[in-house]
Amino acid sequence: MADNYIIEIKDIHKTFGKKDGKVEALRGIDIAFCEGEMTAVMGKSGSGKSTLLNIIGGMMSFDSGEYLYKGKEVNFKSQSELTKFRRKEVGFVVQYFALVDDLNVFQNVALPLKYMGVSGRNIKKRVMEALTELDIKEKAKAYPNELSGGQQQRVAIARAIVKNPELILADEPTGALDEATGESVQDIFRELNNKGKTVIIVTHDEKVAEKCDRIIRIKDGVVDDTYETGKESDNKGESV
Amino acid sequence: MKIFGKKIPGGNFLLFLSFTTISVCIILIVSTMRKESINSLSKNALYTGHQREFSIKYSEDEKQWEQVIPKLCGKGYNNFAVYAPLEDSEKIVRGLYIKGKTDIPPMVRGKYFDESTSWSDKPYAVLGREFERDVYVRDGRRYYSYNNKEYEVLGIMGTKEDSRINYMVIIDFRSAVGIAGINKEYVLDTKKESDLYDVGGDLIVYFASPAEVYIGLDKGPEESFMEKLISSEVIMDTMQIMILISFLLSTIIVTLIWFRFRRQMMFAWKLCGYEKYAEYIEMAKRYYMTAGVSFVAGSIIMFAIMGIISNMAITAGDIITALGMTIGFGTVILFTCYAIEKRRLQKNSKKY
Repeated sequence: MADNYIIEIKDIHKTFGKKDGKVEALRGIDIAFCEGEMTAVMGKSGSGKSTLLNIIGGMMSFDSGEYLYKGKEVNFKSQSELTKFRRKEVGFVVQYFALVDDLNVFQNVALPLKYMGVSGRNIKKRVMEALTELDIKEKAKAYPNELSGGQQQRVAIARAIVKNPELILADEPTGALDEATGESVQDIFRELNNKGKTVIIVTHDEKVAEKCDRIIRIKDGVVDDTYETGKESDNKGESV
Repeated sequence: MKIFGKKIPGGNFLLFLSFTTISVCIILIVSTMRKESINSLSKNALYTGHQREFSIKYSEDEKQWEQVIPKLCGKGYNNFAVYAPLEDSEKIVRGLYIKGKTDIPPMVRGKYFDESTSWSDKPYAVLGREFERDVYVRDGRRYYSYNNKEYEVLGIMGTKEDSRINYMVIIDFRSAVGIAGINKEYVLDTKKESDLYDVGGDLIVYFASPAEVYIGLDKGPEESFMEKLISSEVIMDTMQIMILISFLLSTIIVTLIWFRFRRQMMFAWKLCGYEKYAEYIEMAKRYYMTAGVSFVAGSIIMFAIMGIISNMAITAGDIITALGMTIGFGTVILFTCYAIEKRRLQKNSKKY
């Protein structure tokens, strides 16, 4: 194992449905991600890329295989361990933002800190820092439906980073945004990566993928191709 | 929709309406059941309806109850009463010995007889509300005079509407036997009908010769299932239960709709790594907040109806009982629907 691997996935299989409706989403996938790397996972619809991201983030279990996080196996059989893993290590950003409509921006961003034993004063400080970093501080009291798509995605990113996770996972983060807004969101991920975060982005968009350090192409539940983009990055990762 | 600057999530209004209806329904049922029980007590002049009259004859020992009562107590019966009705042209007067949990009439104030006060050296009385005006106070205690004897008043019983209970005077058993003598008519009553035969049988045994106890312990013709089913009381009870069930079913549907509006929130919790307990707290907080506001609204509606319909009475006890039932039903519905919704969420998380 290379010392700087943050995630190693070995021969993971995942099947959905039963009997006739059985769909094999991942067919023994082997993949590894280095610490501080920014990787794009690409593939057609149904190729298994979102399933892979959900497994990486501990949102979904798998049928067989091995998952190592910083060299240690994550126990996917224990829901509480998976929950703890998600809470401490992973920041998620999804296509449709997953913001809570009846909570304002501040409350949405504060969600991950609520049950982490952080004091009220610290929650306020950390949320405001995250909002400042994402340049949406003035929208703290607004509700999600009062924001543009780009602003909503910034709120979602602020929520992902407020607990300071090592790993940021994004599932089609620019999919619901126009090109210009999508680019600015992409720049935010690059900034986070430059600060040392490991970023994995699932995307259809070649332009988004080209801005990452490495592209992994998934086809029919296995890695079809993986290569470095040659773009500049302070934390260049290794390909597997 | 915003109220006081706070955004009210979708589905809350439906849930509010549903719980308001449920609250009104439950309060109505609880108060009706309580009233039915009071009406039945009042109609039967405090008897359960399966009581038995008995008489003691030929006893030469006026104090013979002094031996019989401790023997009955020793048998461990826990729900019987022996009444000693007294002749009175103006009011219904009875002596009472009570053991354990029997039906207690509606009390206006004070308390009803218990085992110690109904078998005591000190004379006690519980009066119907019509005789409260005859109560006098001395040394901070309330007294009532009957048959040239002074009784300390334990409490006043009665109903708002005119009822037999309002015209009753209940005195302790020793005093009643002291007035009328031991050889007289009595009434034995038990909470459970089956106990009637056991206690009655023991009475026959415990009254030693020459005293004799005459009590009819034959079981009357039993009401058939069909007769029970078509009796008006059963129909009313069934109707009330059916109405409650239909409201509960609609609340389940409304709760599922309410959850539909919260899928995004549940997904966000999952993304943020909320523990199960944190999810439960967050969900219950939101659900009970709406249910609580609805219950208050339901109670206000019921009090408004009570103002219009004069013979409807709702007590604080009815409200507390109904609140307990609403919380109970609400909790079962909430966690059942939550389990259903979580399964759905696992299948469709991509949408959020």
